[in-house]
Amino acid sequence: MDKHLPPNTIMISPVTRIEGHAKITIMLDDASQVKDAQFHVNEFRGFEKFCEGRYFTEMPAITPRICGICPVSHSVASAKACEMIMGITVPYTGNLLRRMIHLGQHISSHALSFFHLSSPDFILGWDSDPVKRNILGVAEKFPDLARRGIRLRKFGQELSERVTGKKIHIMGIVPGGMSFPLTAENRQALLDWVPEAIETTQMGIDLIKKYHQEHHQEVSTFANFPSMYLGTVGPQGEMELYDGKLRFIEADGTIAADQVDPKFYLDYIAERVIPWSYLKYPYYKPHGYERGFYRVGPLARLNVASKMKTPIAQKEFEQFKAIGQGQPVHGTFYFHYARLIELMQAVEECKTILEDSQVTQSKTQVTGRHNYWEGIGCSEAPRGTLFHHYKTDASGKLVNINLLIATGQNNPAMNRSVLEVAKQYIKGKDIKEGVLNRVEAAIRCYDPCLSCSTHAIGQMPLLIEVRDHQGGLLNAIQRG
Amino acid sequence: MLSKEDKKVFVVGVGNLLRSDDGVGPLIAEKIAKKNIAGISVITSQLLNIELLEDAIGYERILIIDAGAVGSGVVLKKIECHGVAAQASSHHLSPEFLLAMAQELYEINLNLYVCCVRGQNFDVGNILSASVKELIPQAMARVEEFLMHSQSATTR
Repeated sequence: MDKHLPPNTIMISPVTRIEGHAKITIMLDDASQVKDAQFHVNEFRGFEKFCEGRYFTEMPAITPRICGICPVSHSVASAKACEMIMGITVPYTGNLLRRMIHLGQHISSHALSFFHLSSPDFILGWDSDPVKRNILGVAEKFPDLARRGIRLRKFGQELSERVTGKKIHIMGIVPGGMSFPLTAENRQALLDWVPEAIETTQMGIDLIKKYHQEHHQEVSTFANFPSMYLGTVGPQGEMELYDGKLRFIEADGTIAADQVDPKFYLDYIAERVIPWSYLKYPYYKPHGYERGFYRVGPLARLNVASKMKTPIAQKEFEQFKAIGQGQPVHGTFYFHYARLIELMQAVEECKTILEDSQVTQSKTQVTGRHNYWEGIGCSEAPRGTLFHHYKTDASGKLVNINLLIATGQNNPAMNRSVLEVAKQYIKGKDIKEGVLNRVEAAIRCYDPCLSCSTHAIGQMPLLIEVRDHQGGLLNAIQRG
Repeated sequence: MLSKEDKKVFVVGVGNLLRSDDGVGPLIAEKIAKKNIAGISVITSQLLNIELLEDAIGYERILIIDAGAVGSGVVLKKIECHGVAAQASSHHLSPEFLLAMAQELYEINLNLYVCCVRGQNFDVGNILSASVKELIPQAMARVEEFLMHSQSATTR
């Protein structure tokens, strides 16, 4: 037993099927009811310090190494920050290709999140055998779905590879644009793949909607709590994943701040340190930390948006909005549905880009120099709004770096979600594995990326411990 | 496009070059790639991803080169998945899991091998620890021996 654990504590460590290491501590009161919950992040990334002293133009190549799942978002935010320092504007075709690669990353990440990480819970059942409750179990029962999920993820990767020649760490995104053009042959190959990608995404949407219908009570009450939301929108309030302005909404749906240039993010977002985690607690600055907690990511983006940009996604968006009856949709489980609607927009938008007559033009990059001392870049990563903020010295070397990542911004909400689900499902000491899986699932809804940067063999054990009110071990489960 | 006869070994160097010893897999893979050995395809990746299956299928053997947080020295072994209690994670897909997925989804028994180099330091940084640097020649020798054997082996 961990001697530092207070009595009446349940610990789940680390959370499975998310990136990085984490643990959940649930405190019980004397009556064995849930009193509080904390979501701990144990990894310390240190990239901000590591990058000090480097020349700012190196950042779009360095920062993608923060995450193996969303490297493009880091590249995009980083390149934008560099372009602000240089005072340059990316050419039309360069922006088209960047946008397409970025959407491709959303497609890959969302496909992985839904088909491989989250769907086992509701396809195979929350309480099914945990050894099979993963993509392997899905593959056994629904091989076509599993294969399609892999193909969809591969399609997203192809959108990068066909431009840059690389899958994971995109070297094509540079300050000023893209270092590679798209060939006509690659454009056609990608266009040919689009119908299959739309079909698979629609299968996912139909699957989640069927689950919602059959489990309405569970879905609508699962970690359902009010919060503010932040997302990026276009000039007409349309949902944006690549570039736009920030919109904050209140828990009742009223707009708190709109069309905010991301470079003013520090006027709206502040952070405070908490003792039990390396992740800070960001909040909407005008409201203070007690009232200003907000969420980012797919659920937030759909809640803040007035409309989608593509027809099929718009149709689903209208159904999604109907759930909230004019209010934001607060149920955490709806992250999955929102993620799939975003995925649909991403696929449809890629088709639009590929059909643009200028997508294969060769003018993809402009060059520039160190003209300003400070740069801020923003993109919508799969998990939410991402900010890169660089300050340089006179020579262009970085003296200060602030990376505000999506998972950090969702940290307060993840804590709250764990607490809500724990309160809903944990009743007394007899806690079954399926109940703990639901607690973990609350975290998986956010699909957090905690330290997606090292993965060495032997580093991902799972230990779930259940302890009684005196600290005694009631149950322990080890996986992986 | 490689013909079936040309697809001898698919080498995947896995790891993050900016997480110290975690970068040893891609580093060794890149050294192998520079040798331009016929029939050997090499890629590097920060993560072992599920879609690698579609790339790997058709090769006689697949070799994953990776850093390890457990074990010692350099170990090159064939992966089996008898009774594997697979655990999926977008961050950490095990070779055993990949093997099981190939069997389940594509009804293919991959000849999957892992070369594991024991790492010591996985903190942020781009410098390998002294112990890993010492292991690289040994790892290269093991991998090259494996590749030579694969080249001379009869296609099954």
